[in-house]
Amino acid sequence: MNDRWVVRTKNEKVSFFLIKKEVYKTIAVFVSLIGALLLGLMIGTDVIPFYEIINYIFQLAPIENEFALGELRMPRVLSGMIVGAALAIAGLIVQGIIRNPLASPDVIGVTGGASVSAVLFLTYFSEGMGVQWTPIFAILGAIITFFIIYLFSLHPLITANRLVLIGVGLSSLADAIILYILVTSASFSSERAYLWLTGSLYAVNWVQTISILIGFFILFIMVLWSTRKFELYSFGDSIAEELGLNLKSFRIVFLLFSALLCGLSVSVAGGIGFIGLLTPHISRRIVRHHTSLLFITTAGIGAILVVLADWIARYAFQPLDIPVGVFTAGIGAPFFIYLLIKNRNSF
Amino acid sequence: MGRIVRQDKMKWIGLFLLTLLLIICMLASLMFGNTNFMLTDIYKTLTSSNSKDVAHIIIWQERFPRMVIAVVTGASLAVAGVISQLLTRNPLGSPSVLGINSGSIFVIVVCVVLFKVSDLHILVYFAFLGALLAAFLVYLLGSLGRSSTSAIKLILAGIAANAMFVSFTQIILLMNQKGMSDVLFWMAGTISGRTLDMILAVLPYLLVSLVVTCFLGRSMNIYASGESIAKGLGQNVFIMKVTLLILMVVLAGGSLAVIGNVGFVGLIIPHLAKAIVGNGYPWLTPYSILLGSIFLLIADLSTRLIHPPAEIPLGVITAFIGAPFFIYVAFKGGRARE
Repeated sequence: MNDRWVVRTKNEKVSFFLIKKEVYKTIAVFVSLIGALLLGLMIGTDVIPFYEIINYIFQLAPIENEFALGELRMPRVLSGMIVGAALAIAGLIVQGIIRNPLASPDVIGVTGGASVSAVLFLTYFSEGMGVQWTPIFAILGAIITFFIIYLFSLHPLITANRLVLIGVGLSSLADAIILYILVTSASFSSERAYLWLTGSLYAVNWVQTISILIGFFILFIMVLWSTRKFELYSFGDSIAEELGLNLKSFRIVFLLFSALLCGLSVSVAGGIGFIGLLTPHISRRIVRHHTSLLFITTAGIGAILVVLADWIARYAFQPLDIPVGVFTAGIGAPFFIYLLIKNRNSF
Repeated sequence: MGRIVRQDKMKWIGLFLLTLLLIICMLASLMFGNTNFMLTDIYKTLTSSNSKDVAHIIIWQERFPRMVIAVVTGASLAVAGVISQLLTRNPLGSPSVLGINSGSIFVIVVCVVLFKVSDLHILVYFAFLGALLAAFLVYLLGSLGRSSTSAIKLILAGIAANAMFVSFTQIILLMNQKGMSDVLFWMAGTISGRTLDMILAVLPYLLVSLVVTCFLGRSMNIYASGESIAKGLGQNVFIMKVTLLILMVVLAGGSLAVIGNVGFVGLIIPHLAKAIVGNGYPWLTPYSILLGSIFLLIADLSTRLIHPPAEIPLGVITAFIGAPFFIYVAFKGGRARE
């Protein structure tokens, strides 16, 4: 048994084992994440050398590109990281709960619901209340959409696949509502809204970054805390119930987690598609045995994907700044097709 | 026997009533908008020779083309929906859901933005090509695997195709922002601002396809009873499939070239028509034609009347009605299966 570590507290209240290989792989994921972050920070219209970044982070010496690094790239790269991690975990949860490998918050319409609510707020209420309340409304929209989907799922004859179809319908309804709001309101600049809706990290500021950073870590710790339940649920309804899992409350709590994570990311970056769908598939290949580790790896890979995608979208098409959502959809859709082919016998 | 005859009589009467309704909607489409006209105004503009008159210009330059386009594309989209639901044997299988709209738009955008094609007579063929491309892609993906084409697989394939075409379109547009205004109306989906030339460019294809589909009713009935049965009854199933595919692609692509991305018509109307006349295709197609025209006329009228002076894209109106309907059909399908 030397391919694993056994972790025990003295009174054996907590004990679990970790497979060494999976731990190493997770560490590798996070090393790559640091690499992706550095890439995003260093290379752009002009190159900022590594030592300047170190100088800036630890405040060792004043640097030349302080504005470009501190005000433009840092918030953008960091919020890309959080958005990616949040979407990836939201996707992992949704796929686990609906037990469908092709589900994700954007496919079943939750991203759309969050966007509707955010656009409604930005159009009609933001002048009175201030833009900083947008995340609250995005999260509210995500929760309402999840609630609707959950209500459908309570019907005993609705299968997981039908649930995805219903989500697809909700998604197009959300698109229509957003377009309607944009067309009928004069106050909202439609070009900016369009950019935001396709999912862009353009002009993200520190306030947004810090607020989603805090929100994400609180949620992430809560999710990690309850991974045991997630594991039980994956054995199937009847076994999970026998092992003492309250299915109803489990589903509600985890869907709520997913809605909150999804709303967080929509409020900053709009609808970045396919990250929630794609990432869990990659991370499940890396980590198979340990659910907490799976969540951690998923967060890491989601973060890498968004940071890299945003870097390519920003850097490769210069002087244009392509919204990262367009780019992830361009890569994600073919991957989705691949998943369809791979899972062709399971529907 | 007597009963069937009586039913057929009812169906003829229904057809007549729908035609009446269609005419009323056509007149309403000419009468109402930012400025409202009476029937007498329309009659006057027809008889008077003064073509500089404001009423004359509004009615015949703007509202008349819109009316014609709504009638023709509404009918075409509805019948394209009938055919694609038959082809995919799936109550949710309409062109827009299967990503055929966005495939067509992608190819149009490539032509307009990258190759500077602006002649609609040429673009129509590319719209057909795009529709065909998307149809093949989705059908191929949907029919993979051991189990035959299942609803969820097709719809997911449609989502994937849709997302891919939309993102490719957006990348092209973002990289060539000058071309954006040329193609934006195709993406939003609207009848406003279309001229008679545009519909004339596609009219022959659409009309021929509509007529052919009407005459195919009996063969469609046979095909609908299942491929093996159709083979047993002596139908060449392959030729039937190809014919239906071509008809669908021409109807969907042709309408799309004129009015852009207007979804869900092909989803709603066939279900509505089935609710009225049942599953027989010889009746289903004409009813869908009439209902589709009426639906699009009303939808187009509401784009002008809901929120004046802003005009809401037609695609938004159809999605408002169509998306809940899609959810309803998905929900009902879930109940019927078990």
